[in-house]
Amino acid sequence: MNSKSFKANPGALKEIRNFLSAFLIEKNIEKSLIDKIILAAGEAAMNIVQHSYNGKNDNEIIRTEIYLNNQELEIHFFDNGKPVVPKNIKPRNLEEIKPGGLGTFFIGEIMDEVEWKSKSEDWTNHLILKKKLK
Amino acid sequence: MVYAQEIKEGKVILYLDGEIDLDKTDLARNSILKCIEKNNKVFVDLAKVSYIDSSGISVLIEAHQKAQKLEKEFYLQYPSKAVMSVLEMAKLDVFFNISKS
Repeated sequence: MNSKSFKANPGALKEIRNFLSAFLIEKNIEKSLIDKIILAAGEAAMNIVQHSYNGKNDNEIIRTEIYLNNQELEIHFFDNGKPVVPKNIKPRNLEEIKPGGLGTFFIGEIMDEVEWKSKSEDWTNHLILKKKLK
Repeated sequence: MVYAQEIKEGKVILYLDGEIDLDKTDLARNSILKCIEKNNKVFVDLAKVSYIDSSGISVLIEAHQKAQKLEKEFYLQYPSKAVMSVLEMAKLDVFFNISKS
């Protein structure tokens, strides 16, 4: 398991992707799969910055953890922004072409499972992205 | 930071590069929209874009729609493998005018 905390601002998104990518490279995962996983995880991190923290909040952090056990990958994001209401998060219809709303679609396409855990003592939101690698 | 531009054979080419995410979308949006306002035929070169997410794709959709509204020509040029893969996943490879050669 690797874990790291990042500032909740757009500039940190690249750092989050690099942190997760380094872990996946170290595990010898195929590059095309890494690219997809990083896209999904990047979208999730962007949603936290953009929606949970309203675009930028240098005083707040996003905690990121990544695990790989028996070819089951889990990426965890923790934040203390606005509480997420999972039932309100829906991918947009691809037939309706307009700017916005694709991030949730990408996450759903790439990952096997998306789970929001209940509020804990330390964190308002805890998102888990899961994918079986083989 | 500004993206490089080139005027060639009656068209303007805007060269995006690096990673286009939420941190870069304002720059990309302003650069592309300004190009469309000032020119009739705009190509956005994506050969050196190593990563693009939904915020970057949204900028390209917005630019395409703005070009249509202003009756300008708008093309994506030489999308990198990373860009093409995201466009295909979103089924947008048929929405944009893409120049690959």
